[in-house]
Amino acid sequence: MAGADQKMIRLTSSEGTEFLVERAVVEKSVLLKNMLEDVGESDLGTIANLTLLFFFIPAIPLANVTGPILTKVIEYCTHHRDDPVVTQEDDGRKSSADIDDWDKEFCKVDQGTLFELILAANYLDIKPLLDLTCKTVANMIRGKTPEEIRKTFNIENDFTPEEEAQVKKENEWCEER
Amino acid sequence: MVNLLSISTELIEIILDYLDTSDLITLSLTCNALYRIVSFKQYGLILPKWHGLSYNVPDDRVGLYYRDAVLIGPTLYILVLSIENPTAWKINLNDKTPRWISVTVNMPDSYRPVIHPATSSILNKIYVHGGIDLLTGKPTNILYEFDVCDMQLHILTQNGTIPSPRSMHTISAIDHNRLAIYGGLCVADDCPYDSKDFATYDITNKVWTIHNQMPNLPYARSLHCMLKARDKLYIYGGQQMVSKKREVIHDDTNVWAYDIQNSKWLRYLSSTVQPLRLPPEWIFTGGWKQSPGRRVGTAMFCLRDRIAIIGGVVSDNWENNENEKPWEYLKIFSPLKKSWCHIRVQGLPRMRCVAFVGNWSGCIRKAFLIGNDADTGKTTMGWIVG
Repeated sequence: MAGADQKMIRLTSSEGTEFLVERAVVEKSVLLKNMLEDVGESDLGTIANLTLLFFFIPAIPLANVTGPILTKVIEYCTHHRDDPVVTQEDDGRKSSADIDDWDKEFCKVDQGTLFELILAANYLDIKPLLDLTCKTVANMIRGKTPEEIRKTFNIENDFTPEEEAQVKKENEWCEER
Repeated sequence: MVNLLSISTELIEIILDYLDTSDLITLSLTCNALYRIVSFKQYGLILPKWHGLSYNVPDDRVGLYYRDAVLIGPTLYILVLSIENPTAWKINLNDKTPRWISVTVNMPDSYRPVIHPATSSILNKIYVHGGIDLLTGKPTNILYEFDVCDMQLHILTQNGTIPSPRSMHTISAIDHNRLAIYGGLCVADDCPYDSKDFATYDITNKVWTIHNQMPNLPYARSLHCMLKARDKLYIYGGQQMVSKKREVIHDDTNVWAYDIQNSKWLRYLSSTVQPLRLPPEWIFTGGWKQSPGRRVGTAMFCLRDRIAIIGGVVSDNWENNENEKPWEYLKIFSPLKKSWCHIRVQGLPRMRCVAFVGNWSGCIRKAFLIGNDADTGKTTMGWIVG
């Protein structure tokens, strides 16, 4: 429940569905945070003038995000609203093992939704969500054979036998020994 | 429906960041598109090949001076500071069919011809330090500034603690005002020895500063390679004279890096030694079997966020394996992941060389190599494409 002084923001999905979201949640998106800062305080509605907000404050259109995906994004940002701001990793080492239980459950979606979430997280610039969804895809690849990966992601093997042999030969040396 | 192959390459690369080498290899075997993305992510190259330039090769003096090549914009310069008619060779690498042009150097009055100096550039100026004075046969510590706009060669004044005369060392710009030299072959009491001097020269006040008291300096060496990449100065390879009989050894497999901002040396170890209690500046690397081993006359260049090492003569015997052609392997080190990998450059000759990367026309041109053929000694140059 938003506090009395909590500012609310209107977002519109690609189909035109409107969402009323707390500013603190919306600001998990760097794109929207920057947009709101550019607009300025005086142009934003608050819970106190909700009626005015709906009639006079234009919603932010998100033409690249569908309603169901925006619902998921808002769910993620609401759950993680109090997380500290992510800073740039400086050692370049990434691990996909450190996904907490809520995030794991959040990512139990069909593959189409998972990739739509990646696109939305990238578009809205929500780095933790982008990392989470990319980690989830990486976990779907890890430990599988090429054929299992093709089956998982519905990929067609378009190598000619000669190309496949060449690629395998090139990779012989690449393995960590 | 959106799927793995319909999202952008940049997004797939984020996914690849979470996979280790074996999973990346497996993924690359699934289809052409993922092979290309994984290969580019891993190596910055896709099925790289050697594209040699066999026409308009200038006389073999250029091959002798290959270590003095300097890239300014799209143009590669080689200053041949010979006794008579000192010449600047230049070639515009953005041309579809690049051709060498020779230009006469305007000499200063007290000109000294040199060979085996160290050369680098800042903006439109080429700096040439030291080398063997061709008139005396002895090493010198002369410092030239060559302006590529008017082809005028100047001798710069040097103040502070001036490094001793030397040849076969390296010099590199570490910012817009400072040049750093490292190593080289010096002579004391008629005895040659390899140096591990590390010194910087400020071109604004003409002052040298010697940094030999720093801990963790790389071993003494000459004919090594040096590369400024981001905020580090990398040093690799080379040789060291070990006796008065002038025998040389190539015994250092490590890559050294001078952290310019923090003024400290790091050592990336390529060895089987298990992690012991070592100084924090000694960093173990993964995939060490793909590391470049011991080499002299090697090229080092930037490949995306990696350091690439190629060419040179290897003191281990593996370079003689004609079937395996191990000299074709481009060795790639990731300072972020602290690991090595390698990829074959089809058709690459066995050569001592230097390499340059730039914003070439034609995006498949990744690096330009120039040097001399390790077997014939002939000037050899061309592109790594892929």
